[in-house]
Amino acid sequence: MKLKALVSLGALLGGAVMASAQALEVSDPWVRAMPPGHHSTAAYMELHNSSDEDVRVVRGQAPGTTERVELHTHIHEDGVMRMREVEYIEVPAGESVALEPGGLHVMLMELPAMPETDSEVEVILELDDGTEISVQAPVRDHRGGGHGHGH
Amino acid sequence: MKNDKRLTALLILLILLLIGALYWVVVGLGESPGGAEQAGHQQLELAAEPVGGDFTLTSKAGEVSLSDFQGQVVLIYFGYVFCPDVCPDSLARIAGALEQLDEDQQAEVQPLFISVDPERDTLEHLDHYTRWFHEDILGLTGDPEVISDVADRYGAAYRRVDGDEEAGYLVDHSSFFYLVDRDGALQEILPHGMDPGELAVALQDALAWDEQPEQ
Repeated sequence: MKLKALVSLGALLGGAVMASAQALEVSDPWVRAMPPGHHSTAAYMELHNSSDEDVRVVRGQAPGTTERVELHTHIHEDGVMRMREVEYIEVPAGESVALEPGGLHVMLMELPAMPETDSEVEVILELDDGTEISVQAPVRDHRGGGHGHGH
Repeated sequence: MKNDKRLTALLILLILLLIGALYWVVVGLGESPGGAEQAGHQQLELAAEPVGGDFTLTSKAGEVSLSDFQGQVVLIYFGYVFCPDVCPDSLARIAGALEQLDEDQQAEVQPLFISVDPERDTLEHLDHYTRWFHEDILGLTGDPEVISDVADRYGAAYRRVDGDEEAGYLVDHSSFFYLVDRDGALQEILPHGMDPGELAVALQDALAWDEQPEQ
């Protein structure tokens, strides 16, 4: 099971290695509000690659919020959620990839202070060609709301 | 001579058993991935058939037993405070579901968050964390053996993953919502990522279902 999941993850992530165009659009970025004193949270967003070449996000940064940022995914296996760091997030040419709870996300760790709800956190995505994309991600309190996947 | 025959028979039996065991291991290992994958994350293989049942753990305010909530519908979630993504998401869903209940209904539902990381989750931290999501959510922890036993009985799985990072370890865990009826019996296991509205309906159904007289 584990092996198979790893293999399929590898296949998923190990597609074509190509130079990325500067055509990665980031929409609806947000950071999950967490209790004061909590030291980690995550940034979510929608990535769209409108170019005809695959793009990889290889690193995340959150200057001013924390120095420790990782790209993570969740592997669902036998009912168990396994969160793991990934080397990159690939956005195939012409496609979109959602970073969302329970899936891919930009993990913000070792936060000296939890950013306040409705404040904005700068998140920088570094692509495999060195391009950096900066977005302002509002801190959202999702208690009571979920994230609108139902209905 | 007689002994030799017996020995031979015994040997043959042993070999057959060994072949059987090998077959089981090979086929078992070979087949389980596909099967588990098809079943997706709603399938639990790590634990035996969930039976639920009473348990006693500790909250910041002291000992808490499931039977303390006799007459209420209980919603149980297993997770941990350091859990960076899945637990906050699930707790937010529980909070969202509770917000959709009216006051009377809310008073009849007791959500419990059981820590699968008793080493790090102090009572103080647990309480602060769960109540931030919703005032009604009660954080519980206890001896690792007791938690392990409760998790087994509810069909929850978890496993500590030691990384090389100084930031600490992660805990892989299942992410279900366990719905316990007013009599303390495990009634339903709800899937990870359930919409807060659907979760609210499940709670309302459990409340209504339990109001009916026993047959």
